[in-house]
Amino acid sequence: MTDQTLTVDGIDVQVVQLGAGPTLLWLHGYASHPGEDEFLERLATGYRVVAPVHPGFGEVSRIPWVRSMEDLAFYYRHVIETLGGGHVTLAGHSVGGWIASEFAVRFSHLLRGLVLIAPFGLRHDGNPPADIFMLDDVQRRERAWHDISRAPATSGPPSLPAIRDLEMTAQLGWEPRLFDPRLAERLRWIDVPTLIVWGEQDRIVPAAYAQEWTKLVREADKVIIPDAGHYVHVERPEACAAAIAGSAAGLRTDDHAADHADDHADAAGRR
Amino acid sequence: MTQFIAFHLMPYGTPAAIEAIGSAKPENAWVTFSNSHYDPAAGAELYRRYLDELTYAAEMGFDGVSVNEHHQNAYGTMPNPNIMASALIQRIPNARIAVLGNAIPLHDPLEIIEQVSMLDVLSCGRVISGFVRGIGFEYTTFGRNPNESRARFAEAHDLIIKAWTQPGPFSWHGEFYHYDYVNPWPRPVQQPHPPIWIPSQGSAETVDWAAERRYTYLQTFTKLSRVAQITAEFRDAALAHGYTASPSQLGWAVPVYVGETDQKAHEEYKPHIETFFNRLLAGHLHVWFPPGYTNAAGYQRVAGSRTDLFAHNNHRMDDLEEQGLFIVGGPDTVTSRLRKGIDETGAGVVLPVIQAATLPHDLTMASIRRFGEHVIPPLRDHVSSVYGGTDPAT
Repeated sequence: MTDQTLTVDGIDVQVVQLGAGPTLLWLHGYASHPGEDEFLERLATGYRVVAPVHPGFGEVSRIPWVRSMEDLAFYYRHVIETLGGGHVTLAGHSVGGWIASEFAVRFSHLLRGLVLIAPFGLRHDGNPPADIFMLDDVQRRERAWHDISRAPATSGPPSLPAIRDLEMTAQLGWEPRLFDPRLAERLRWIDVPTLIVWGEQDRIVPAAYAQEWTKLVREADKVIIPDAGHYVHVERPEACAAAIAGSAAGLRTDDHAADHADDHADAAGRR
Repeated sequence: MTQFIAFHLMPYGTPAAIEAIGSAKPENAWVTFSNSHYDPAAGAELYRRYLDELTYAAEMGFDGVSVNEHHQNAYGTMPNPNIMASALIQRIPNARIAVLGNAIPLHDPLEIIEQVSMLDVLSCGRVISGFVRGIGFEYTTFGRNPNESRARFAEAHDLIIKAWTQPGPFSWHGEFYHYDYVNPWPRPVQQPHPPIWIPSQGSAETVDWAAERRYTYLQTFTKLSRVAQITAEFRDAALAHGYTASPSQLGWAVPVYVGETDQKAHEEYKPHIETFFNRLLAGHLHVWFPPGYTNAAGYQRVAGSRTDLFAHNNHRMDDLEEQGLFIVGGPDTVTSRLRKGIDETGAGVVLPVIQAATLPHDLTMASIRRFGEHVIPPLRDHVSSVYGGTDPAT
């Protein structure tokens, strides 16, 4: 696992890189460092995993033009351009899963597969996601984990990077509160194999949302992992990594993506 | 010359509401404290009574009266201060009517221009126009992004001032606001616009911003030593911008209670001022300061404090009084404390909060009377010692 600095649109972005093989771009959730090393290491047995910290999170500067989830989708187009090397597998957790979906509704032709782990982004009034901004640090932590003994230790007042994580999350998702009313309509344009993963006991974004995502995204499979909360990939890294490896979204060749490129060419030709 | 402006928060301090705030776990009077605790009949009586109190203050020699804006809470029941100002204009014939202030990032700036201009016309030019960001709670209430609070405040302000200083129509295309035809009617009586006052909690940015524009800066609910520090920063900032600040540019807002004697005043005030700090100001820290409302280092400091005003709800009158968070006593004590405060801060505007939480009407009226009769006269011509005894503006 190596820490590197990637320069994207003039700012230095901290990136963890590990493993070798086809690129998997990992987008973290509302906390930039929730303790997901083991999960990333497991992914790295099959991929070159690239895990950047989002602009404004942790110790990364804000970018003036990145103020919304839509802006972040375009930002990650820059990142993928900077990484080079063709199609990527895009995977994200929580707020990062939402970012991945905002990217995929626009640019799924750049992807070979999409993995969304407990994504924010949709809302049902009858079963809304937790309002993480109305929970204090202790309450938010208690709700995010099924077995809190698996959570990274904390003490004292929040660190500056942790405060910045929440500030940037608020910048992106304050209102509407961590969802986009237009997203459900747009999800049909995700044109790449997709895997929806959820922790069965998620009390931040309820696992019932997996059904909705699977319905709205055309080529989606879902895996519900028991004995896990919102940080399903930290609580059950082996089960999460295995689910990805065994899915169409986790395919490590570009064949499928190439097929889709042909489809697009055909569609264009028919017009 | 010291100006006195009577400040009222118009709290919803019924016994049932105070009890309900205290039994919430944790205690909370804001944003989500259910409006089922608001009894409209009791509210009507409180509004009438509070308007009477401000009207009486004007009659007792205060130079003006003032109202402010807060939302979804029991601490202050004036979600639209301009409506209350309009009612005051009808009752008060001569004194200043200060709106301190409109929370401009929460609203359509064009509506704020219209409302304040209307008030100025209605009052024949007696309005003082305060602008604030709104406290953190309001950003949850309104769904306004707390990260954009400062930038929205700055842009809304610039638009309002342009509308008051340049003939319309003109177009405005900023970062947050877009209008193709800015042309508000009516225009204010005070030309080009009413005096702008800026109430704040003392961030260095705001102090410098207000000094640069030669506005009046008000510090609210802050211990005296810190008020003195911030007002000194304001005078330095004024010098850096090429002028000497006058006392009329510095305001100090502080709860005041004048009793018959020191002892009686303390006995009478204690339950009410403690209710004010421990109940009406009670709210969750992370909602007081939503993410991005204040800078990360500032939030970390508040979150780590065990003694801060926001750290707990067990404040005791003695400790708070010692910090100068309010002033209580007989007429002589209140006069000498205020004189000391004026000397330390350089304030030429004193804004006594004339009622606190559950303080009953009769005690409030008696305190206002004593303030008018015994406190204003000896301080009227007092100029802070920081100016060497002479107002630099005269």
